[in-house]
Amino acid sequence: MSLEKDIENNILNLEKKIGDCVDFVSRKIFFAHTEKYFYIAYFESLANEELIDRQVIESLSRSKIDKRKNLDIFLELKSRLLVTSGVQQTENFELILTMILSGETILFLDNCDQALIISTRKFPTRGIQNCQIESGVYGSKDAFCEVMRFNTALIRRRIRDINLKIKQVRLGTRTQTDVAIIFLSDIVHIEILNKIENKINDINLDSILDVGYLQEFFDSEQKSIFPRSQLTERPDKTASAILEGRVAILVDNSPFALILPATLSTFFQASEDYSERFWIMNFLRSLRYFAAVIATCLPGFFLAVINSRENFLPIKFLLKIEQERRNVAFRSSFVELISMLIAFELLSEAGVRLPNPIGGTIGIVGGIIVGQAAAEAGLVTPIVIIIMAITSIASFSIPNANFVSALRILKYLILIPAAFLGLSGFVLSVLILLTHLCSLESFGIPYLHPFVSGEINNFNDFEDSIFRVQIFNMKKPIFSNNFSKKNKN
Amino acid sequence: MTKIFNNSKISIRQFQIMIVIYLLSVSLIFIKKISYIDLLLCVCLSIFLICIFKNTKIKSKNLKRYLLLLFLIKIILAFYFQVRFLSNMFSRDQIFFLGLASIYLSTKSYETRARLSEILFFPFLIALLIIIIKSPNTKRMTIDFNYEIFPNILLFCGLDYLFMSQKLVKNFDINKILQAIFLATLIIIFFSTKAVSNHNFFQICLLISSSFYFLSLNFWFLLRFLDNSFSCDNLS
Repeated sequence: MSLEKDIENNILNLEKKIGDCVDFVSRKIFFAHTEKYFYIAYFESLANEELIDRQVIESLSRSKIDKRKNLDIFLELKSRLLVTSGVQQTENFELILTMILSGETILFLDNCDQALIISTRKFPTRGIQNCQIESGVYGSKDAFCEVMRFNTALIRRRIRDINLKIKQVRLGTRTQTDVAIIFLSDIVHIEILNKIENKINDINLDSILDVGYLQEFFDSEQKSIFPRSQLTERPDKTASAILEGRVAILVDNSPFALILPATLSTFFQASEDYSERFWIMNFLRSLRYFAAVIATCLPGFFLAVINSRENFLPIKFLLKIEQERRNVAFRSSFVELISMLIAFELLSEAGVRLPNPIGGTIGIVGGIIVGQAAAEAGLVTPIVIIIMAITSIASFSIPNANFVSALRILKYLILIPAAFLGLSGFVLSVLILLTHLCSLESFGIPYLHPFVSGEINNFNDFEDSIFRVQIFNMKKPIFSNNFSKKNKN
Repeated sequence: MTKIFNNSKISIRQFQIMIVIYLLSVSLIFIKKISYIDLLLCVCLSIFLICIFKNTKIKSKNLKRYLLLLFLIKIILAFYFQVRFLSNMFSRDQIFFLGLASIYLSTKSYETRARLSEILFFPFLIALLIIIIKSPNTKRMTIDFNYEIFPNILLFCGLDYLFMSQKLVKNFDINKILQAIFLATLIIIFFSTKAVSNHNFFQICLLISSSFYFLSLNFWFLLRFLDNSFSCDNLS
């Protein structure tokens, strides 16, 4: 639908569409010493009223307009009289509605079928704050916020390269959410970028309220609990990923960025890995991989070994376990272990939802009740509590919360076969897990790269996997489009 | 899925690793049943077959069909002998779960198998090394000819899989394959000089992994026959 030349019709159509909204503001304002007027409209909850008053209303109402044709007045408004930075013209009525709902101000003029869209957005925001989920000892502490423009600014501050491109689209038929696709045009894989853009353009939803909605679309090609894209709240991590040749996606109203593609090793990298000396970081990074193995396999391995007919553990240890088990109500160690693990899952979930002042208290109380009281009541053995505690602590050692969620489910899938089939069940379930991981790909890159198919990039990606070499010795990673070249990063 | 990294064929390095893991898996299962002479006969037969097929191009379509039929019979027989042999080591539930796990791997692509072999390669070798270090006793060399050699040859001479899947390998090079076979044979011969008990933790893990790998390879070829992925064109 296009605008009409008659301003009254345009006003009527606009006010009919908007309807009864208490925060909708509209005014007719006359130019100085003339009967000609202009009409502005905006939502006071979204627009910067001070800017509108000063730069639009005051500025235009004091302007003297000559008695010339309206088209000249329109051009004069656009190019000379309006002193704001962002001004665009349009005749598209749907665009006008979208922009006014985004916080812009609309200006109609009589006898003119074009409207001006003036940039006056101002949203209530909490500003840039510290990282809540991915905190660390070294490195920057700022995190993304809900305003996409602030987030793009945080990335631009870190990458001052003319090749840094930010493409913007609108998704969600009702929410009309702004989505930004950020990449370095000279190093990104064009095929991957095109595939991402095509996927985004194919999204047909009513609403996009968070970047997590998009993650489901990108991970939908292969069914798996493992994420094939990375969510992060850190601008430095996002900038680092873009510099590797990956693509970052930001969604308005979401304080997270989505990074594509992602392999298993990227989930074990923390941004502070490059802030500390590589000797220390190599130790910590290898500890994370070990923690992932513990978090997934320890409960299953424990059950497999104690239920096995063969005695793999020292006799004294076995006797101790047997002695403790005599005082326990449950006959099976499997029931003990699974009840403790589920109790801990409940505590974790409760801790996330509770308000900060009482969250910590509940954690301590829950730990005492679940741990000590359960052991004293004869419900579980102390060794099971220790296994559960080590498993839980190990899972929190991994930097990426999305990946940790997958491991939380995985440990039960390994625990159940180990409980019923012993060591065979444990080994076979680990083999099934490895098979599944080997079959996964993220935009054509094997998920377990560089541990498999490392020759694609001449094994250069081993330099930043379990161990990392010194920064000045690193080569280009596989995500970059000239990865086969042996240039230093 | 984007195939910009050209993952449709596996590399020759991955294929070498698959050969080594395959031969080690087979030998771990049969190591107590075959003597040195069996082992040497199998290796010589394999090398003999390689030398014959190295430069042979089968042009006759009927001959290709008969070979394909022989191959299918071999897979079914090998499957039967494997399950019969494994039933001596595992319970019914464990074999059922082993079968499910093997079927899961066999439904995946050849690339997945190659990647899994890469992942298992070093743990396999490390576990073997630990077993060898912990078993200092040396077996007496036996030269008895074992009449049960026929099923062993059927299973051990798995190099027919090699020729059937060469189209899935980039830059197929027979010399590199021979290198892999010799490496595996050396490891097996060294391993077979040790008297190993079945109660060792690493031995049991390796046995389970080997059975899984071995069974899944047979399933893989069987499934490809059933969905007509393997045809006369696979025989060069």
